Amino acid sequence: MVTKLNYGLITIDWAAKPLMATVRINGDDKATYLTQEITF
Amino acid sequence: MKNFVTLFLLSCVVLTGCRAPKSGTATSPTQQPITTIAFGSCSDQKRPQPLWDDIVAQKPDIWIWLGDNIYGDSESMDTLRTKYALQKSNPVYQQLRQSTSIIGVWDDHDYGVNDGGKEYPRRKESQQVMLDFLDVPTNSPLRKQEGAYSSHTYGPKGQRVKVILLDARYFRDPLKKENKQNVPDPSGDMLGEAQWKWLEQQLTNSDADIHIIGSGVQVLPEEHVYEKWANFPTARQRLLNLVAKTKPKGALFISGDRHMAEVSKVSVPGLPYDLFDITSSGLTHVSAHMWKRTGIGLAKWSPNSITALLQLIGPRNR
Repeated sequence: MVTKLNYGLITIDWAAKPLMATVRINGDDKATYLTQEITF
Repeated sequence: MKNFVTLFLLSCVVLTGCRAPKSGTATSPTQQPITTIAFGSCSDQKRPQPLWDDIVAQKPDIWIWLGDNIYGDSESMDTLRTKYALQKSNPVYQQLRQSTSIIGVWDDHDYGVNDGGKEYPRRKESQQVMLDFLDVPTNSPLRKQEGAYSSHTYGPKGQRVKVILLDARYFRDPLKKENKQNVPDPSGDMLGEAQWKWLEQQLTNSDADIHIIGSGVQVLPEEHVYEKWANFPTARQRLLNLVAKTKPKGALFISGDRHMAEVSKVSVPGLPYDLFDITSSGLTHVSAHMWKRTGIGLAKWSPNSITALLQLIGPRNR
């Protein structure tokens, strides 16, 4: 859980096998507070 | 003459498609693959907006508004327009508009009423005001449908992303409350039948490789008392069943509303990958109250699903 001002960022790695997306929750201090790699 | 008419109609079909606009479909596939998608929610137009610089610097291909895009809270369309105009006038957001595809859907405060659903009397007019904010063309099919749900497809075949934005306000049944607290209402619905039918069409035999499904309120979490799909458990299960039935490639949910960020995950029988719900909120204010109430390391289990809440600790132990 992140309780700072934040936005989400999804980055898709089209070259990854299997396909992978990385989701980051970035705060207003330019820090990344949460990273979740998702493979499909 | 008959042959001429037939030839004209055939030419029309070949050259332009001549199809009726698809409900809820806003954009067509592009040739360039997209790699970066940014999203956020809960942006009070009156408060400082410090994140836009960072968001612009990420050079996202798409920015997705996930609701509470303004704090409108009014049945006056003039009031909503004024507040949207203030939001839109932010100079750094203006930069983002120049460089990025902007799409979005509403939650309750920009819809017009806190915790509102289908009972909000100005929903039809409010939809048009929001579409104005999103620069949706006046001839878009989104202007003619009831409800602000939409789908947007990007990238070439083999690297295609479909963003599906659900309208969880326009057709949502009133919340059921006991002692002023939200309680589950198994008979209530979130989407309405027209939107359910459209969603099934969007997911069935889709040629996209990733399906990002946006909802203003959280889809997976069940443990809190605030607004969420789980307030209508039959509708929530229907959504999960629909994803399991249609098996779109690479589906994940994104959501807002909560004034904090978290990741939730569920395993759905029949789906070959886990379903995530990535919540990002808010852009201008967060809830310290929520932080104190919820605590650290919460995990919830239920017979049909597993939801895990993950937490990272930042500077000053926040």
